[in-house]
Amino acid sequence: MDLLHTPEQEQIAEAARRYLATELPLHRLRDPRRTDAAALPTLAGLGWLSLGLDEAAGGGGGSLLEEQIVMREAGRALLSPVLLATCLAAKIAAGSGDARLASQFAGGERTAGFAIPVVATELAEPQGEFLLVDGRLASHWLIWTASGLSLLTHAVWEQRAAHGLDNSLLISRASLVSFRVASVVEKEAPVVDAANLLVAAMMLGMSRAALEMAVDYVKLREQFGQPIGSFQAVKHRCADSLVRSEAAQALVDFASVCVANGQADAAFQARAARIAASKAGFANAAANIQLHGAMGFTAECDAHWFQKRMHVLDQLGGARRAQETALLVLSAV
Amino acid sequence: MDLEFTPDELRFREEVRAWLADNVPKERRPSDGPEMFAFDRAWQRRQFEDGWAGIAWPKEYGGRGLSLTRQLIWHEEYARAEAPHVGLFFIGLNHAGPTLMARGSEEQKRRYLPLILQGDTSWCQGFSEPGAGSDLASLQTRARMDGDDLVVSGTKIWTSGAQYATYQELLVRTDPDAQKHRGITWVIGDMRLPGVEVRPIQTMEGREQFCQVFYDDVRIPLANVVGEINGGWSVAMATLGFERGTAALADQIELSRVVEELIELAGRTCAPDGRRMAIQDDAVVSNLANLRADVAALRAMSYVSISRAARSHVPGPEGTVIALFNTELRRRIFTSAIEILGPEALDRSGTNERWVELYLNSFSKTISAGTSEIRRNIIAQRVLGLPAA
Repeated sequence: MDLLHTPEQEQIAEAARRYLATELPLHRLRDPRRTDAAALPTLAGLGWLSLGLDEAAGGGGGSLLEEQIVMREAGRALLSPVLLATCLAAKIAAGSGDARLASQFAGGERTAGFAIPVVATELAEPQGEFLLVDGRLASHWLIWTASGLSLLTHAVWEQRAAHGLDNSLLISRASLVSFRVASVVEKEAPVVDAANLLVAAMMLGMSRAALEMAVDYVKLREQFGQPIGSFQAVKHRCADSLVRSEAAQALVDFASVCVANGQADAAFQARAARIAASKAGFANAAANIQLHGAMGFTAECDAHWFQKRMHVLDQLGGARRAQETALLVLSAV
Repeated sequence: MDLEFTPDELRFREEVRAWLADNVPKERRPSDGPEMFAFDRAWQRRQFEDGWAGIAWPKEYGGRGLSLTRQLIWHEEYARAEAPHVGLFFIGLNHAGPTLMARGSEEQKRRYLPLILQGDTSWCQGFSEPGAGSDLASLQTRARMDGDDLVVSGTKIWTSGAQYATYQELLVRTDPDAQKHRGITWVIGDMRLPGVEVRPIQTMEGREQFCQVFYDDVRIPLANVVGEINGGWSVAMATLGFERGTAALADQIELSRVVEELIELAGRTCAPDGRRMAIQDDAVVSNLANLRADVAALRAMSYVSISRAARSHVPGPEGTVIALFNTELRRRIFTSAIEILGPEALDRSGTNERWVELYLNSFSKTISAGTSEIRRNIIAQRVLGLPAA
């Protein structure tokens, strides 16, 4: 038993972090006309979309353990949910035996976007209103409800522009005109556990980034003749943020091993990780805004992006309350 | 990252499980008085006789010399078997023992360590004073050198189990003129020496759990000094490092079981409206799910700290992170128990007693061994690198 990351895993994280900081820095989010989907072929070239796939489906070079590490770094850089949707689409395609489609997702030639149902819908016959998240380039759509996941192809939408709470992502309101269901997976399927775990990993990365941004700022910002980070009221907020991130980190790592090994408690651990990471993500994002003072409330300061993105991720597959209800009926052993 | 146990470790787990099934005391641990000490001692002796004491302690000091992973397995099985709290042997096993192993002389190790494992001697802590709590380094208990002895005068307070202890990890001021962190010495006190007086203090639980200890020219041989004279601060920090490190492992693991019990309790306790069970209340569901997620996180953090400890034996400031999370979570868990019990909680007798006792006791956990506030300061300064005030 050893829950620490291996030196190779540390290297993967560091390389991903460095790459994203240079190529996709946070200030890119201020231009709403751009989309991270355009970067997916490049990220696919780095192997990021195929880490959790079998070799037959174009995968290799890793497992869910490495995949969650990369997803954490993607969360830190606030990469669009199209990355996660496309990774999941590849897993679903591979699981349904369509190795060709899986490798197209893994190669970034095809991408998927999340279609979040406003009201829960049937997976095999989706209907009603949806919120489409950053799907301008999407060839496929992923619907994720408490019942499982549905991968749509050839979807034609009747769309209306929406005013996104997270204004770094293009969000539209839409209903389906026509579509084909490529694949449906039930809520008990391992890919649902992997999906919850990867959402948790992204939220964890966001909690870390928000904490680091806050800590950097309170070391520099001076009031009353000293750095505000020397005041206990500020210190304690930062310490609580760190504790939340550490708790989420330990559980995301623990759960990723459980899911990768197909253990009996995989579903429980993955959902527990998601709840812990959601707590850390939301609370650390809010603390970061607060610790930046009035600067934190401006559009110019990057603090607000973490808070806004947390709301988008929280809605994938059911928000916090739904996760709590689901967790309580799962077996913890 | 892996959670795999080796075949040897799995066999070890089976062995532990079988032994605990046959040997865990059937009767409840008394919560106070000499009966409590007699119980703790008998249980420690039982474990020692069959080779289960000091699993990760070196063989030459009476331990088994096994890995921390096996210690973890022991604690997991111990919690599963609902074995009694380690009780009055906690300080010896988790503080004094590890401190002596890290900083004691060879003679001290050979003399004191086996006695702890054998259930022969229990230890108490002698750090806090009426005027030195969070600001531990301002302690005033004086020790002057006289021949081969230190002569100690002053008082220590909040000393758990002092009335039953044989030895004490005692911090004394040996150089009153030095800067406050530099004039302190860590010495093995003997509670049986002339001039030591113990006065129990009643806690909010209604028990005599901790004491004030008075020292009136108590002569302690210089041979009992651990580390250097005036070098006690760093020894004390090592002690607190152990306390904030893996010492609470058993408690952390036990909490997972407690939350499962709480879910059962909510399934058979009426909600206040009398029309459904507590578990059917949305707010209770939300709360229990969060507690369940948090104890899962605590368990994962315990695994991380074991993994880390396997690489470096002296715990770093990260131990404070898990200590803060653990103690604050305890408060929330037992507060939830009281909420679920509803009016029943007002009567401590019968099956409610355990929950009420653990609830009241949980208030001590966010104060002892560093308040939550001090822990947050340590995390902010030593982990996050924020400037001192």
